[in-house]
Amino acid sequence: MRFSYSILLLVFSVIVVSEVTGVYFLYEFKNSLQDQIVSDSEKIDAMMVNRIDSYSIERIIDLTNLAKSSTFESAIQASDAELGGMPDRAQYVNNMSQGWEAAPSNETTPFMRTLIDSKPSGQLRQIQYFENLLLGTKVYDDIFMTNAYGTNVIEMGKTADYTHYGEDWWKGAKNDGIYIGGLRFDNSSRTSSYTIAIQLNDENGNTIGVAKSVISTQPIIKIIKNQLNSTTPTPLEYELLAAGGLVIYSSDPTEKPGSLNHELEYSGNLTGTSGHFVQTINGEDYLVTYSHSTNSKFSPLFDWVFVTKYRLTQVMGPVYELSYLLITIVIVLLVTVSAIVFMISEKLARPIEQVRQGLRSFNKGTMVKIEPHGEEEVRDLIGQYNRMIERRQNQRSESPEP
Amino acid sequence: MMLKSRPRRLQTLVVLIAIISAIWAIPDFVGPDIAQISSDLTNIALTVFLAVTAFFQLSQIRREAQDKITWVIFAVFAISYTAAQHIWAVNELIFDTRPFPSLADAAFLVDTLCLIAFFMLYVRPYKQSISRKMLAIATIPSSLVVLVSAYYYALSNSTDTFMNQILLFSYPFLDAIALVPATLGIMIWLKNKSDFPLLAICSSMIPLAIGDVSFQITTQNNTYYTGSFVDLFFYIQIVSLTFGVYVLSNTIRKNSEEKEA
Repeated sequence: MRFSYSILLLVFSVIVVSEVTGVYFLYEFKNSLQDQIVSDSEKIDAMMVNRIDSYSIERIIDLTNLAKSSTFESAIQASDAELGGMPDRAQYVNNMSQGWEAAPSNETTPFMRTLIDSKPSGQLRQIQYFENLLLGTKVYDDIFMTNAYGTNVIEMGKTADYTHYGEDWWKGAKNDGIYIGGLRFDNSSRTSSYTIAIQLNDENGNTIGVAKSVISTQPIIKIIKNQLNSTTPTPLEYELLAAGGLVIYSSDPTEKPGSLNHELEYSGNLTGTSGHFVQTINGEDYLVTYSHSTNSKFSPLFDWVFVTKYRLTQVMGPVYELSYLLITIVIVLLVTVSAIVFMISEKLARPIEQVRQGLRSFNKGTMVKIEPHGEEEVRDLIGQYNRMIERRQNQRSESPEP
Repeated sequence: MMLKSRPRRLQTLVVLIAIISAIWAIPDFVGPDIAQISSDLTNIALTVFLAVTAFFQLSQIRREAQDKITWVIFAVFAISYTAAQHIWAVNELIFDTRPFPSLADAAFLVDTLCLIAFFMLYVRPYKQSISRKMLAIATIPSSLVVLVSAYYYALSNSTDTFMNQILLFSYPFLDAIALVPATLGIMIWLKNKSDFPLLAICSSMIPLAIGDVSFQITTQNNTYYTGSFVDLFFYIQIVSLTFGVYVLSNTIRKNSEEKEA
């Protein structure tokens, strides 16, 4: 009995060791796959944020280069000279400003038309056209330039105001050289934009005016979409959030630009430069990775974070498939091997048991031969036993009857 | 080969419990993560050997009509226990899902119900030796288990759902039922000290009941993790039960041989 139990233990030890090794292998495989996905996703997030930062910095460089154009510089210098030479400049600016604001929004006054139709303004529109063509989407919501007194000189289209000297962006650019504004959301068009303004200087370094551009976030969204369409595994959701959780872009259609990140779902989790966490929503686990811009020290505009969300069951699919396979194999193995091992152990133990019974009978004085069967070693054992019985029977028959 | 004498069997059981305690303690000393993996894998191994022993015992008594149902129930218990531990381990290690509550609990409930039936049937042949006084004494540990468990259930400010808390409470409650025949078995052994498997099998209910009450308390206060001290009680239960059944198989065979002789 101990013999057959030992066979069972031996076989099941092999099964258990294989199973435990298999489960441990799956556990390690799952962890390394998850680590790899997390690492790759964090890299993609960081790359996206860097690309968005680069794009935004490129727009600042573009405006700086634009401001150095001699065509624009000459027009602004001429305007400065014209206004500077006026004895009642303040009165003139005030009158023009009132006339500008009094005009209905859909009407362009002759004075406005003069500015809009000027050669430099036409060049500005041409630049905008080619930029839009190059990037395949609207790049600038508006670009215009003012003179040193804050009044419009060059503009792509009609602006809301004529004078800007009291506005933050104008004062910021005039005093500090550059102004980078925060994101502004247009609730009606569900789009967002941000303002960049830079100081315009002549060749001697004197301030001659300010250039302002209102940059649309559409190209940023295009960059995100293009990049993430080719990512494997495809994220369930990805979004670019501004400081405070405001959505700049989300692939989730329910999260509109300018809205707060859905139910502040990541609130408190987006710590450090980059990282990841597992979030459970309605019993389903999601892997969330994120990366903050490292340029947020440069301007609050860059205080954005790129977030990618995966459904854990989707990204861990290969591990789960392997697990189901392992579980099936284990169940099949346990059932079939149990049946086979029970039969084999019985088969192996039976002849040994018969020899044991035979020896027990022999000790009691009964000599019974056993039909040789089983494996070679067992048949040999039975043969030896039978020969012993034969010899004993011969000895008994040869010895005289008492 | 001679079967082990009684004191040696007890010694062997103590050594096995010491080994399994070391298998629990070393990973727990390293850290909760290692303890979790180690505990999940050890539980798989232990329950598979319990199931093998259960089926072996079933094969040993297949000619004896009287005990067949007892050991069929025991085999069902062992299989569902093995299935439950597999589901628990796979949920926790591979699927990263909380193993409690899960499908594993369905299997755990089946095995606990089987355990109640098993102990009742296992102790039934000894009913002539059970006095009313013994029965009264046997209800004391069970009442204690229910009281402690109910006290912590009432105290709980856990955010778990009502169903989860009921499920948590159900394990000690069902254990308390199985503990009555198990305690009777221990008392019978204490009287004549002749049947070692009775002691090993019945005493396995004690660590199980302690383990389930501890599981309830630690889960309620969110301190439970797989591989914690609670699991040591489950290890001891399985080892004690497996060894008891193994010795019983030997005893059955020896007795039948003696009868034949």
